[in-house]
Amino acid sequence: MNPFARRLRFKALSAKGMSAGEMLARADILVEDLRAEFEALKARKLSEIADLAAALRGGDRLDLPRLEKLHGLVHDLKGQGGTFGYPALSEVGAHFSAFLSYLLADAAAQRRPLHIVTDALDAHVVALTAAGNAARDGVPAGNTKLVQELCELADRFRRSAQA
Amino acid sequence: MHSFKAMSVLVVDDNEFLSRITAQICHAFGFGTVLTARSAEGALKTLTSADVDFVICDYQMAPTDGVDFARRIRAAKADYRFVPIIMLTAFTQLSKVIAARDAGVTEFVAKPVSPKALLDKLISVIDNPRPFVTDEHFVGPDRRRRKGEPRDVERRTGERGKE
Repeated sequence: MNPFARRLRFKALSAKGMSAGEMLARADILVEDLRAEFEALKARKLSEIADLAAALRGGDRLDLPRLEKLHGLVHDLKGQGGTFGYPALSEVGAHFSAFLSYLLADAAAQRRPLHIVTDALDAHVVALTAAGNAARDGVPAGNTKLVQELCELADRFRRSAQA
Repeated sequence: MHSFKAMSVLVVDDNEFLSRITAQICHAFGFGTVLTARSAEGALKTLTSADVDFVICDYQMAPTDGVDFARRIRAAKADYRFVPIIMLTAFTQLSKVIAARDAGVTEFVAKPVSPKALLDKLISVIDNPRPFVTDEHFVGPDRRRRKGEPRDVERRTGERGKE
């Protein structure tokens, strides 16, 4: 055992501890305190995401800086949703984020007609909004029609971009 | 029964809200000191001036991401190079997990973060420390786990063959 690990072990045993159950109960209380803040933040971010997706329809080519901003917002929601009882938001967010990563990295995808790209983005926004507005502590979206449709849409898009 | 009362943790996340969630969870676990940094650069400064027992960092940060941050910790000529690094990540791609592990990350917690998952990893680091390897190719906790230890990352490693 390296000296650092030994010191860690020593510290862990040198004070009266709590049981894991007590620690988790305390964590639940503190996370609950942040929940109201998350609800407001979620509403604001979903609205920003919808606005950004709508703005991408303007212009004659894909606005990559705007797309990156959209990716950042979706990535944040994906990371926070599950912690606050919205597993579907995290799951749909993961699919949306993966699609945006692909769009940002793939030149062929970026050259697709703008309306095709924005239609695909809109479908993701609709799904994300539905997941965000779903009742808290809902079941994960895995294998539901919503996620399945998103996967099929992204697959179709990729295939057509490669063609 | 564990105690974190005599320990300090440094939470590194460029997302202010996620950083607060993680810090609150650490407070709930009873950490004596909870430090936060919004960037890898800020965190490295803290590590040089404070006695830190755990680093919890996000994978995706800017301008320096979590992998580079871990690499810089392990390359330091100071005692803090031994500090356990727990990485929070929404990335599930094998290549990303391997990159982080090869940079010297000790444990991973998948996003969305649950208090239980984080607590399990903290306790695992204390109770089952891995030998610390320092050679010309790698600095960090031994990437091979011993019998009986969790195999989540190694199972993925196995997919690409033996090392």
